[in-house]
Amino acid sequence: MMRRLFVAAVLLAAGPAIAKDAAFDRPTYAGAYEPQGVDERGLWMQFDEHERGFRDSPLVVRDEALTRYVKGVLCKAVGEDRCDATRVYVVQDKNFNASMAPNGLMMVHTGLLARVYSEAELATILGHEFAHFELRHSLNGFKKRRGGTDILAWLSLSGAAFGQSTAAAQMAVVTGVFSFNRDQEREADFLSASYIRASSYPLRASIVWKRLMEEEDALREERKQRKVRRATPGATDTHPTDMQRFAYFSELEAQPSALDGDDGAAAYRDATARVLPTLFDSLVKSNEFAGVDYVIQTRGSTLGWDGLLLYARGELYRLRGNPRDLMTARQLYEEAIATGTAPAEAWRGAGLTAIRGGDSAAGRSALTEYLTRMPTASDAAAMKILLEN
Amino acid sequence: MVHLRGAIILCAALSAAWSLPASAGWKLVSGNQVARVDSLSITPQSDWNQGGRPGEQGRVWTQDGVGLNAIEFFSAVPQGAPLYKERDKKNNPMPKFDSKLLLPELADFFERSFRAQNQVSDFTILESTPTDIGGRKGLAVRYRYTLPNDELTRLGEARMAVVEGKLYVTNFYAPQLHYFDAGLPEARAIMERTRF
Repeated sequence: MMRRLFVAAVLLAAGPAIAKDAAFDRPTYAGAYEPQGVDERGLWMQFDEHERGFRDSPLVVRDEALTRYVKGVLCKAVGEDRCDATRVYVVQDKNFNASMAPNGLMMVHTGLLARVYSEAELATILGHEFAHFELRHSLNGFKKRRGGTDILAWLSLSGAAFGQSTAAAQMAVVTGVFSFNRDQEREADFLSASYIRASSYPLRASIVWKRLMEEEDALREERKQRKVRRATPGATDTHPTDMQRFAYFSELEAQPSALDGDDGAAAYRDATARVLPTLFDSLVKSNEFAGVDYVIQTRGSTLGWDGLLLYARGELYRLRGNPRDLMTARQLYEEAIATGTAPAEAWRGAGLTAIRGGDSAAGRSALTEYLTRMPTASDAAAMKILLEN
Repeated sequence: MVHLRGAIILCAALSAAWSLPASAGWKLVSGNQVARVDSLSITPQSDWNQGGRPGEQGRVWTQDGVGLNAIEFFSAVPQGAPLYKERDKKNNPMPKFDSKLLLPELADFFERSFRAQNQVSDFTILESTPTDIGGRKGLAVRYRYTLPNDELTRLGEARMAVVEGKLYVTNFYAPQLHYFDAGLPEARAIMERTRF
């Protein structure tokens, strides 16, 4: 009892540290918005500085058409008036992620674009990120963390002064910060759903989280790891669990007319077909076979197989390299070639797997075709040596 | 005040010593002398610092710190072993070497190992060409990459060969800005003069 009173007194004393600011009079996306208050000004200044360096980063995918397309989906999702305040950067990163800085810098990973299969699915994620911007979540999170560390300092000092242990109260403050973060993520999910409901897209969010769980399960099974428990988040999780997100989005999707509208799957397939190597290369060359095979197969079954996707799957099998993988890979390269849309590298893969499988005549023929189609390939000289021996 | 400063320096030194990883025992490698690295004989032109083992069969040398220039030597990586050490086998397992790989496929194996080791998503092979390594047929791979959350373009040049079913790799890498070009001539000389 004494301890609770003591903790309450300390928290009361630290109260001013987390007092709320007056409301902002302009939204962050308003034209020529200038950040308000010392904290927001400081945060924007930091991110403006960060963006000046980041925009020239080699990690940014320099593909204007792709970037314009992604921005276009964002604009359709949240409205032209809002999206004008953002700068979208597609970033080479195999992980499923996107992020939003408080100043309107939006990063969209190639690994995200590889794992969504319609404009509507992409729109829910971009809408979520935009919601963080509109709701000033970076600023609120910063203030929460600062308030939390203030309280921790007071607790430590008071505990030392009164000879009381404050470990439990300190832990409560720390977990409170994480819980606050999860609440913000949930809030962004719900605002994103509202944007989508007001847009021409149907709400297609739950499927994204379902697939992420299935991909993770596939990878963990391959690595003989325990299944993840997703019913409730851990104390230090920054986001709601994938299962929670799947559940509340499913409920929202069950509302009348939530699924009405064109999901833009065909448009998404057409816009991304050209850049499949950019989206899948780092996935295929990672060492996450089962997870990546799940992603490739899901794209194939959802949007259809073309030469580039079949080639990517062939590479995945060839690189794992078990003897039966090499046979599967060879078939996949041949299927890719048969579509008429395969990249020249499909002949490279077909040739290498044929030689490894003991069919050197077919292998040489395929490698010769590879060099005919791509005489300036980065490994042309090495291939010629292979052909000469 | 002097005492206080002394105490602060002592504390800082102690905490720095405490935070060093166990493998960070640096050793001076003198220039123009033959250095033995596992089964390799290497003759550098200038002084280098020999650091820990990036792989069970590997050693790393640097002059200005591994973030600015480094050369790795891997000797006799056996069939089924990874190039780089398994640091987190459950969550980030390393690709395993297969002695049946064809010469051009050594570049694929190197790329996948390097990507997994450095958690790199941006990696491009600029050129892979046949080369002679100590009288044996090998592959020279020039590449470009970016580390996660980093805005520097980095370059690398590796040479690799399979000898009696075992893989030998020397790998030089540095930021494109100044360090790669500055270090490349000596790195190449080291690679060319390396003997099994």
